[in-house]
Amino acid sequence: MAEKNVLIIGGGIAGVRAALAQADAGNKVFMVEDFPSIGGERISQDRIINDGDFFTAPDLAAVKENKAIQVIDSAELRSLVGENGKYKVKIHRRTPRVDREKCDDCGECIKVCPIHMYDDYNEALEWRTAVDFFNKGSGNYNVFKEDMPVCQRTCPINLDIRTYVGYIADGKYAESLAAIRKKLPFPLSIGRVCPHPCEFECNRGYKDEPISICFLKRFVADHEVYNDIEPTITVSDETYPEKIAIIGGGPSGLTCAYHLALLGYQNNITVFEALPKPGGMFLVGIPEYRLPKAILAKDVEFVEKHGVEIKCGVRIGKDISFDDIRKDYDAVLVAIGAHMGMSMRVKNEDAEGVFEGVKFLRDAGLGNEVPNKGIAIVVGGGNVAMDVARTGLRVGFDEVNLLYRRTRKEMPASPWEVDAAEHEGIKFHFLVAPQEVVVKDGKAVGMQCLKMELGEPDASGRRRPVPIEGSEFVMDADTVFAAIGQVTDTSVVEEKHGFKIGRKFNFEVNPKTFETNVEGVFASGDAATGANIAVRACAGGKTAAESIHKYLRGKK
Amino acid sequence: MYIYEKKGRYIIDFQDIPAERAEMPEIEVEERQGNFKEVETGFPEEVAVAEAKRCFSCRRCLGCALCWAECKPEAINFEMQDEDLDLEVDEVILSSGMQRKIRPIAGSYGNRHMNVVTDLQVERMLADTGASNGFILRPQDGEIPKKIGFVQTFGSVDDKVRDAALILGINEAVIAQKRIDGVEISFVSPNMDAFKTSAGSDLDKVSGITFINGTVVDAAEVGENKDIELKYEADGSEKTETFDLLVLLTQPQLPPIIEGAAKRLGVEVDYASFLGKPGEIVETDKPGVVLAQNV
Repeated sequence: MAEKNVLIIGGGIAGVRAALAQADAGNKVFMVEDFPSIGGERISQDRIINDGDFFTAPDLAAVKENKAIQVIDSAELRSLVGENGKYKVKIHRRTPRVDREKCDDCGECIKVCPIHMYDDYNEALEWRTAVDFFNKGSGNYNVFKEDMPVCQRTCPINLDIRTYVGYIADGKYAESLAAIRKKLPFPLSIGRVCPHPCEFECNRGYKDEPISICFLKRFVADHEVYNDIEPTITVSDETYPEKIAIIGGGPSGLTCAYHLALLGYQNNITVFEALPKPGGMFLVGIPEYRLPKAILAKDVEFVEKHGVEIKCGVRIGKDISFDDIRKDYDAVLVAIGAHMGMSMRVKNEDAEGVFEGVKFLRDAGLGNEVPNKGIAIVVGGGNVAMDVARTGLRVGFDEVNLLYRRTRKEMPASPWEVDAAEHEGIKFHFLVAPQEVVVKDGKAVGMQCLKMELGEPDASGRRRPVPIEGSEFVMDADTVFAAIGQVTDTSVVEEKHGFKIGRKFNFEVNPKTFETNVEGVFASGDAATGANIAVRACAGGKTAAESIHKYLRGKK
Repeated sequence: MYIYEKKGRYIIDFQDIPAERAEMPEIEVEERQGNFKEVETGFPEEVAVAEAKRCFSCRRCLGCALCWAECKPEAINFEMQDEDLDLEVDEVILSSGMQRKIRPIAGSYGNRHMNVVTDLQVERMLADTGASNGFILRPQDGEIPKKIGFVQTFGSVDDKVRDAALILGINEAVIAQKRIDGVEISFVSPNMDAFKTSAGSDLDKVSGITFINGTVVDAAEVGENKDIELKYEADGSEKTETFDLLVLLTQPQLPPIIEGAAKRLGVEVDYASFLGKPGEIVETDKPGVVLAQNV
């Protein structure tokens, strides 16, 4: 048989065995693995072993000696096309920074390397240095360098966390804040409300507990406010003439405005905000006790000082038509958030005394009159439900009951929010599903509920709630709040404008550029992604600013 | 005491750097009633600076070139660039790779409790080339655990994949029994009954392990030794049991490089496709693309 070229993907034991077998058969073997080294010994997972060799080890020495096998580690598969016996493969290999022909496996480099990182080969049980060989016998030395630390990579807006935390350790607070504001104009607000996905990835978590990244950001931003330090305003060297309209003065819209100003569009950016004050969900979604309005105002003021005009109380489609905006501006960003509550889909939902949780938070945030007497029921298990419940207690309800159809463990809310709500006296009722609003004289007086139990886990790993037959009961209430999700109110545009609207009632965009299908119109934040965390909305705003810049400059 | 101290690689616990993460100060619950005062009051300066010092400043290689200076054969070369390779091949063999998904208990930070480890960590502990020369040690104090719990925290997956995960755990338990005199071992899995049926007489090979059909609810650290108190539901009631060491069984899954390759080739595979005929090569419906089964 003629010699074949064989590509093996995956350098575990099975891959190594296949490689040796193929080489024995006279074939040329390319073995591709994304890890910097090929596999070590493993315990069997296909049969129970009670004696003899528990570990099966791949014969790495044989692989190394076999000239017919080329190991391509640290690899990414860029393309793989072809048919039946003819495949074209493109592989990108990250450099090991070690010439393995020259390396004599003396290990001196490891002794002197000052970096300690957790050892991914040994499942973080040990520490290794930035130069390592992973498993004995592979001899695959490499110097491990990353473009971003894991926290920065996890952050939606890629904040340079290592730098700003490092500056705090050195007491250089102004430098720290400047490092944050290179990307994010809302350190006071995000430093208070972010659910900080970065902290879940923090490498310190492998040793004891993750760094309190989010609150450090808050600290350094607070330091400026509490010490009456005037924030530094960066002025762009460029000035471009194009005018840009931003619809929505929330996290995403204002971050976009800020970055456009930094890019050179200062004094040509107008933000149209429907509410009487700017801030979007920061203002009317996050309650005062988590983010004081006066603090938010400082962040907003910082954006305004960069040459951003914010017109409040202007609703597009009502006070100004979308067509007029298109006519008067060279580019438009739609960043109107997701302010419409989703329906519970239960009977009598339209009765008096039943409210959308988001509307209640909005009214409370704006200082409008809100229901506040007697007993409230909040339906939902996310962070908005926690905000509604905790706000409910504060505006004067005697009792707030929260219903959730699974258990505490499955709640999507951040665990610390759930703890705080419980601490403050919210009564949690788990494994309870609302069935029907009980109405008397057209007014809600309670909720008929059904008890649930957890069945088999579903695809998400969460156990599915199953109703217990005959377990109906009524819970009294004067007010019912539905807090089970929010969607975008797309009525700001009309059908004739031809926008593609997605399944989540969001504006469909190119995920890389945030362009909509309508030329010159971009969308970001919750309006593009569906309800999501604030820092992701900010990240979208920043990307949209870069895209708008590219679009406007490309036109010339 | 930490097993990190083995093999001459040290992580020093500096006196001025706290191990615990700083806690955010809050106003009392009574003070929050009927008003919207900010609940969290922010770190005082000295707390913030101490907390910031805890940061490892992860950057991996700094480019300090100490290794470069030390390397006699001059093998280290910072100028080396990434490479792009173009290959033409006649056959593609996919294997299952080495990636697994950890599902933590009750949403806590990964393995935040010191004495909760994964089956992969236990595998590395048991391996001769691993972190602790073949001993299972508690990460918290380096002691040998006398009571070990293995728990399945992931939800329903393909039966074959679930069996693979449980069998890996059971094999680790069997080795532990041989290496630790009188060790007590329990397994908790929501699919234990189904597993027992599918494992059949193979399970007769093991003895002295308690198999529980139950669902994990929570795990907490208790006492000075930070033992792990496991809460689980079984037979319709919640039970509590304390272990010296708790092992999370991880969920086998295909790494992105293999999933990506399969997708590009138009071959439908999942982890289960690599289980069933140990060590063999299995054809797919696409000519020239085969699967190397797990060993």
